[in-house]
Amino acid sequence: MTSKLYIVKNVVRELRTAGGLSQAGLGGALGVSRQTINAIEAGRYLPSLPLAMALARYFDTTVEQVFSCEDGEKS
Amino acid sequence: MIRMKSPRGRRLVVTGVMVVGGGALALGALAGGQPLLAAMLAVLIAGFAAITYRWSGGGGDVAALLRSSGDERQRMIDMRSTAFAGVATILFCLGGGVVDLARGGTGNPWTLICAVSGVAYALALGILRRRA
Repeated sequence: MTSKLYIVKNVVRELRTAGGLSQAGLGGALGVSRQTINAIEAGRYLPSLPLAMALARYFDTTVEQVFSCEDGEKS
Repeated sequence: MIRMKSPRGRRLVVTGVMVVGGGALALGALAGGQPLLAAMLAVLIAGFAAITYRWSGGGGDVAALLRSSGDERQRMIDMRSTAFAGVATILFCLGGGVVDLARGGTGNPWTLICAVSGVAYALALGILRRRA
């Protein structure tokens, strides 16, 4: 049996550095820790929908622009 | 509307729970006629509480959880750690029950703890699946 495997990538690091923000600064603005921003940027943690939306709103863009999903198959 | 919990929390909560729990153990020992053990427990708990309070003032993931103020990722880590600790405890009790039964005992209190864990899990499952 095969199941869908979703690989989610994001451009949070690029958006943050373009805005001259630190991880702690972005975390403070969103109400999360620096470690959580770091984990999101590194792809170790998938944020909840509210946090993903908050991130997108903070950078004045859409969730789809921040997060992209690639389909794969896992057997 | 997006609602997220503030990262600010209560630094004394976990320390307070530790002091109350440890104090209850020390009082139990004192009531059981073991003043030396009670004193040792009190000193031990006071030390752990001091370390916990100091640690909770830091900026890391554990410090945030010790302040009961973790964000969503930190709360997820806390939940998984709690589940892991629960499984470890149940496995330990299961082992204790097996050894006690093999020695001709009744398996208590090990098997009783296992039963309480199983019932608590079933109850939690029944309640939480309606909320999620």
